[in-house]
Amino acid sequence: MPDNKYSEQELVQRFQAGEEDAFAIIYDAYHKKVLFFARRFVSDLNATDITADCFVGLWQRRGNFPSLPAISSYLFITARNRCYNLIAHEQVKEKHKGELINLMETETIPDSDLEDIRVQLIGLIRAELNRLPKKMRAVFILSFQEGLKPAEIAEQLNINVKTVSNQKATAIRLLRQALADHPLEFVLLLLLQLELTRTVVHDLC
Amino acid sequence: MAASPKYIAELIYRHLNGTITAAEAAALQLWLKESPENERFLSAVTDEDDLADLVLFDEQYEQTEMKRSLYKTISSRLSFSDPSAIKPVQLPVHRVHFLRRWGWAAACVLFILSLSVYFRIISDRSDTSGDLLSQGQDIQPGSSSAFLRLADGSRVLLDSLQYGVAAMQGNTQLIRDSNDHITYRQDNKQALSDILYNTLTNPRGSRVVSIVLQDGSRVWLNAGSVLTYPTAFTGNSRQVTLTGEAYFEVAHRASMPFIVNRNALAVTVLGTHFNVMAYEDDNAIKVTLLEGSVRVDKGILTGVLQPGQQAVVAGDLRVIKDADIEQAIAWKEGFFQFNKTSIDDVLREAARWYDIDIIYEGQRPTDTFTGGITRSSSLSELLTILQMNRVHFRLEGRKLVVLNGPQNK
Repeated sequence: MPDNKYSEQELVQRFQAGEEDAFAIIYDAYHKKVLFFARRFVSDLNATDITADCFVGLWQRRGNFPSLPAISSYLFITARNRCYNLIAHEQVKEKHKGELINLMETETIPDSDLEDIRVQLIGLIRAELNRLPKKMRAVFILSFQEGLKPAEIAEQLNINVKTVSNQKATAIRLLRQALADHPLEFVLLLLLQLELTRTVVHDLC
Repeated sequence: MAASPKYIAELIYRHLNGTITAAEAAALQLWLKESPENERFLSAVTDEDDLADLVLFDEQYEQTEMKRSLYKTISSRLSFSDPSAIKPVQLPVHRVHFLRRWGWAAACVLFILSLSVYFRIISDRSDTSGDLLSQGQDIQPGSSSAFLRLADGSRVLLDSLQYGVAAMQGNTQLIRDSNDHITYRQDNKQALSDILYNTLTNPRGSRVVSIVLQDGSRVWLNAGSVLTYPTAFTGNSRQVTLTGEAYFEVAHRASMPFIVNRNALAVTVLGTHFNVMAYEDDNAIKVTLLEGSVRVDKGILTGVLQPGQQAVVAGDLRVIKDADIEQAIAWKEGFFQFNKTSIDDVLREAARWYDIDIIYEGQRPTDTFTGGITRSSSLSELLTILQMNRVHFRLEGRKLVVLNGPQNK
């Protein structure tokens, strides 16, 4: 087990000396911020690739980073540049393209604390989702996120199609109850309702 | 950044779902003002499409192989000895001052205070009049002096009510529980008796009190306010009468609307959360809706409010679509909160809270004031802030004299 009690300075020293435990601690603290930062601009797959590259690069050049702020800057600058390069391949989301170009032109380094706030906020909202019973949540996610049809979900989860529809309707009802006073989840709910309509149509067809 | 990202995230979360308190809103404001980047970040991070997108991505990341495989990929590319290990480790705390939730709110108030003291020092260099702090007087906010007038005309201080069943009002029990909650509860086994009325009076200078009426509705009463209500609700409506300011959380009963009366004004609701500000010394009555829906009637005028709206009833009846909800209920949360409020209005609110009289030596200042402070502050702490606006005071007993500010410069 790594010793968690050492200071920031010791951590960086151990990291520079090539201790894998120190790298794991730094990875743990930063990877999600980098991943979410990238994910806003590019696809799931590109975002995970970019995040992996950032940390691989960090380890290979570890002698260059004498402090956590230096490590943080390297990670975010690399992530920003890698996302930017994907513009040429038309793999950056149209909605955020302008923001990304602006980050490059103004040479802005994404702020680690702000990215942390984003990660924490998303976690708080996701906790609402996690209050749903497990199977319902699975149905909800498969149908909404992956756009699977009830029959496909039924196959994946090894339940029958009717159950999928029922679970989804119940999940929506529960979510709606849980989120009744939360305007924030309005969009989620709207998407859910669309999804429900689609399910019903699908069931009728 | 002095506040932890986790705390700011919680503030944003509550801001989004509408559960943020006045103190938290003030802390969030303070953070936003730290830098324009924070403001830009807030508007970007709260984009609802992005949020929904990232939440589902996060869910997928946490619940599937994605999380493990990302670290695996990295450690195998780096030929680490133990490629599957994600160690349950934490980064050592490196921020120097983590302010905990209330610490941050307190810091926010302190910040405002220190700023105002700073301004006062500057302004005092050229202005030696009306420094009320140097006179060694101050007025603290009051304790509770709220009292009930029972159906038989007897008067009892809320704080001296007996624990348990404190009184019987017809078939209704008046209960004070060990948490000092005061509740009317009807004994259903008994036949209905005549309608009896109680009156709760919360004098000026007394802290906010709350009671639960027999139908389960909860009412908070501000200082300088009087509420009259039946000890049990019968018939086809629930009628209460208010002078002053109260916040209502009305228990839903579709067949029995809840009506707040105030002279010619009636606020009708089924079940909802709303604030009524109807002091006799205010020019306008304000009804602010937080949840549900209410109808405001005054003579032939009618307004129906949606959540977030406020009806202002003066000569006419106006509906403000985007009302400052936080300001309207800050009193209930224990804050003074002002948003471009005239000094006149600010002082009227202070007069009720500290039980003081306001006397204007010269013209009434026309400035407005924006800011907030906890209601547990002493009068001089509030006045210190107001002096930032170059309004100056002299305190004579419980009389606050507003000096002819700009002219005596």
